[in-house]
Amino acid sequence: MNATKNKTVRNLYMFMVNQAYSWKEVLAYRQQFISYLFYAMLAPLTTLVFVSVIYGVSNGIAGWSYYQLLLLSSTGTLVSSAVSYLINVRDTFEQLLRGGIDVFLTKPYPVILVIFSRGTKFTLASILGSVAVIGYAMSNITVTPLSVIEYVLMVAIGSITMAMFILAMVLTWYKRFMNGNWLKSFSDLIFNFGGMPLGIYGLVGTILFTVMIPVGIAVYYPAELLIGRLGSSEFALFVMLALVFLYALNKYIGRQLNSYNSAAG
Amino acid sequence: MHNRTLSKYWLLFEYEIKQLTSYRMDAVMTIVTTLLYPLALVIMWTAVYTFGGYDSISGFSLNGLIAYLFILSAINTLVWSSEIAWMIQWDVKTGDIAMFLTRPVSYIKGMVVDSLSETLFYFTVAGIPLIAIVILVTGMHVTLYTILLFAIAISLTFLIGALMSTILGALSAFITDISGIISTYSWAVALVGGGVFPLSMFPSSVQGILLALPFQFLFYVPDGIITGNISLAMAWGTLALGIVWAGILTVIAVLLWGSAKKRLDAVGV
Repeated sequence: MNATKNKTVRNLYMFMVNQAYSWKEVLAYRQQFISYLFYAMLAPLTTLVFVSVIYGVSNGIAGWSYYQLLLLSSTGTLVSSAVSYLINVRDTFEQLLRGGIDVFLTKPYPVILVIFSRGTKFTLASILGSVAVIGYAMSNITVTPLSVIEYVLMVAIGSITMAMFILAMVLTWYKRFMNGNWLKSFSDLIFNFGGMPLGIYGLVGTILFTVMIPVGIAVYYPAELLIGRLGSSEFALFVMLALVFLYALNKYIGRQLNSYNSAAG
Repeated sequence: MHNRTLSKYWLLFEYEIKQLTSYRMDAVMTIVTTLLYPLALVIMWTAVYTFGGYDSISGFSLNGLIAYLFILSAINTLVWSSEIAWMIQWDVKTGDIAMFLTRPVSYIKGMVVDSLSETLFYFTVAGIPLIAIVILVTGMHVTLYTILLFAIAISLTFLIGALMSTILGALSAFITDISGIISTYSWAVALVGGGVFPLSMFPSSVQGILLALPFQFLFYVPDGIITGNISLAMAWGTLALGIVWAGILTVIAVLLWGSAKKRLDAVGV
């Protein structure tokens, strides 16, 4: 029990040290950092413009007011940014190809945690921008403190699940084809779908984005919870589903890493 | 002499095509992802049209908007010339630029040829078939005259994209790292150039400004011409504005690159 606790503390410490180092590295190039901040802020801004244009030229989507759709789409941007903060698809591929992962495998830390500590740092600006837009949307709809807590928890678990899902895709594609530049676009594509009400994709789409690709658990259902369309029992059900995903993805990633060969080696 | 110069660039062109086809699966998946990109938007707009019972929104019927969004994917393959800025930055940062500048091939022309080969590859294998499918499925009325105008418009798309990318790339001689600027540019240009939705959906005051800028030539103009949302009567005037912008951007690119070359310190860090 104590050993497990120590291990967890040591892993978290490693994660935080890596975060601090990454931030120092990013801040060393101040001009670059500032320009990337602008770039990252464009994602929530585009979401705001996009939803505003839809409701500027039409009545929007059935069952969704302007603020509700803004909340949902911004949750999509928030989770997409959080996933990018955890995993940089191109960098992970580079590490796999050049043998960088080999070094991680020799260290006494979980490789997944090391990979997640090397994500794209400047997307924090996009996370903060999305939180501001979500706050603005929330101030115009009725939310309860409990639904806010459930929303935050589900977005957090959902973001980690999505990051694990993307990592599993990267490892699978690397093992099969040794390349995968397209996976970043694939990740963006998933969040394009996930930032809309799942109902518009019909039953097949809803099932696909709930039990096959966990983007619904990370984006759509948390927004539904916050709006008040889902209750605590549904919250518990989707958290359970996320945990099942996490368990299965963790096992799968572990198996992929065990049989991994670097191209450099 | 002229033939020798051409053959040098032809070799560069061939090399890039070989590179692209060597990672076939990646190329195929890039194409599939690009083609699927507008699907979420198409489904979303269909829901909007159905809910509101609209025949048209901002001058677009549902079929017209679906055609616009899918053709955007095809045109996107032409806008990949923004890679030029990334390549220039990389060469400046690593110091490789010093080696390239000593070669008997113009560095910028080489970059453009490199980018053109990638652009033509993706546009031929993904863009043109997609446009043909969209025309057949939506029953759009396309004449040879429209195709001629579209050909001029997409040439301007490539040219203006490549020039803007060169201008951005030249900044790497003055600023340590321009990757944030390039990323910001790529994203912003899609929004204000009609790469997310047609410019006619913006409020008229914003539209007025955006229709005077060169970014519309990257997405809105070629798409508008082939889908018929820019009338043939208006098309020549719009294309003339594009040629003027291409001229202005060429002058800026030449001056900036000339000045950048003088400032380059290839230390390779």
